[in-house]
Amino acid sequence: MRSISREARHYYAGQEAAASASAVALIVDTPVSKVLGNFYLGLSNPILPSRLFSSKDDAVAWLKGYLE
Amino acid sequence: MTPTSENRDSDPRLAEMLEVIFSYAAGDLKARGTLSDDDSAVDGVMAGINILGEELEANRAEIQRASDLLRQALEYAQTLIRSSPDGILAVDRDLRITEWNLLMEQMCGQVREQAIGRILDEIPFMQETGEAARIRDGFDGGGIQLREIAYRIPGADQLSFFEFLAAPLRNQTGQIQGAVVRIRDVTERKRAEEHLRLASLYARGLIEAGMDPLVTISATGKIMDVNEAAVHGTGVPRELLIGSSFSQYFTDPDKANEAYREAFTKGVVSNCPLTMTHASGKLTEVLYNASVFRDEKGEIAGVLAVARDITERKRAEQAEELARRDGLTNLCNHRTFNELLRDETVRAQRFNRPVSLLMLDIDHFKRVNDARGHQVGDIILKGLSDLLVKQARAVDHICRYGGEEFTVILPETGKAAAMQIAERLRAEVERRPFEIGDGRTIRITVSIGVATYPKEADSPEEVIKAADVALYAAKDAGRNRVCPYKAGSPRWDLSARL
Repeated sequence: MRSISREARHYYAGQEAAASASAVALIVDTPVSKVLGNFYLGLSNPILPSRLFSSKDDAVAWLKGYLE
Repeated sequence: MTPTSENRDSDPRLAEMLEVIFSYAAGDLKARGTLSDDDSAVDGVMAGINILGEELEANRAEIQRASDLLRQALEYAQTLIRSSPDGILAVDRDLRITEWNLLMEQMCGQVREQAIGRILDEIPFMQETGEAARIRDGFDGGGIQLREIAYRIPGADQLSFFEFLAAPLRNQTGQIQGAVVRIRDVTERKRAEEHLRLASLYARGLIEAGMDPLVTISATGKIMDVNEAAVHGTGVPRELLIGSSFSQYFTDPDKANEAYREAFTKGVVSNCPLTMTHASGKLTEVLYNASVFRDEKGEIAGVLAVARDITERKRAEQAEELARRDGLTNLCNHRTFNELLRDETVRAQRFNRPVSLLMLDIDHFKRVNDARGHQVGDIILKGLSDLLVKQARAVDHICRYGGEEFTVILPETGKAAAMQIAERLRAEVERRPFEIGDGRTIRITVSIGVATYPKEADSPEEVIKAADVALYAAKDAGRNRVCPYKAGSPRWDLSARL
């Protein structure tokens, strides 16, 4: 991920996105994506359980915990 | 890494980063840096700076929008206060004025700029009316109630009236930090109320001044209001009259009910005769007049009824009637006979029609009186008058002329018809025995003289003379007979009899 607009951050953090997902795992593997991910979690206060991961496997394992 | 002028010059990306930050510092929150796609830490920093720029820009827009809304709300509230139809002022805990609207300027003659910051006691209007002291007392726990005061504005001719309403202004912890005061000029309302009060007094005065009993009646027949004359006329206290049934104060309640209902349906009732009952049992003859009255919407609100006491009038009418009639026989008396005959001769002359007169005398009445007594004589006179009334036509006038003499005026009757009528009367008298008490009867006869106007007389006096002449002719001929007046008959001097 190279960039994400303010509107996009608010969308993912809001009600509409929360209605279609159970949790959000962001994989951050570059300095830019780490910055974007941290600002997203810190400033946007997402409704859904959200977390940053550097490993895809760890992300999938965490998400499985939200499967019904 | 600390950006210095040295490495800023040497690293163009670091220089760009600094340019963006300096733009933010200068207020340009739209500045953004570019990323180099090298996944370097510098790219991460630039991405972070860009996000911070976006957030700062969004926050500044939010603050601006909130600030605009707050300013609009404040302006709106100030406009409301300024243009309020009531005077509005606010004071702090020390009674220092913090708000003063347009109407306050007009009422107190102090513009807002002069008033703001002054102590309330310094405003003459507030000091002289005692409002400043009252608000101060209110701060000390006395409470601030609505009250009305009269005040003469300097230069004004008349007193003005103001309504004061104050409410404490409290801070977030509930402590009183001041007060807001609403002052309403209620002079016009007070004057309207006074006019209404005077009009009401005037209307009440008119009602009470009426000499006749006056009541207002609801659609259900209940009395709604009465005047003193009604209280006097019924002998019932006002508080008992109001709410009671209108019809119960009359001898014929059904007729009274019918009368007031007629007023409701037709709008008016005139001269309906009723008899009003007093609590003492005394009866009063009244003429009931009523009309509906309406409310402000034009709808019928009730009936206003006046009962006029006609006792005196009826008494006078009865006295007049007694003066016109003979006390024994109840026939028209001599005076009334003269009036009736004069009227009939005038009518006969005008329409060129005849009128005949019968002069009737009981034969040998003196003998009856002498032999049987005057009481029997009176019975005979009464019996004969009843018989004449029964036998006469509706248009005929039967009168007691005097003593045992009677007259019968026959309007629109010529000589021949008059003779037939006279003969029928004579025969009926002869045929009928008169009861004189104790089962005894007596028979009498009458003599009758007949004359006709204008054929045989030129005036009422002449026709009486002519009938009298004919009567005496009948007497002379042996009594119990009818004689017509004949032209050339000897004219006796009868002037003393007229």
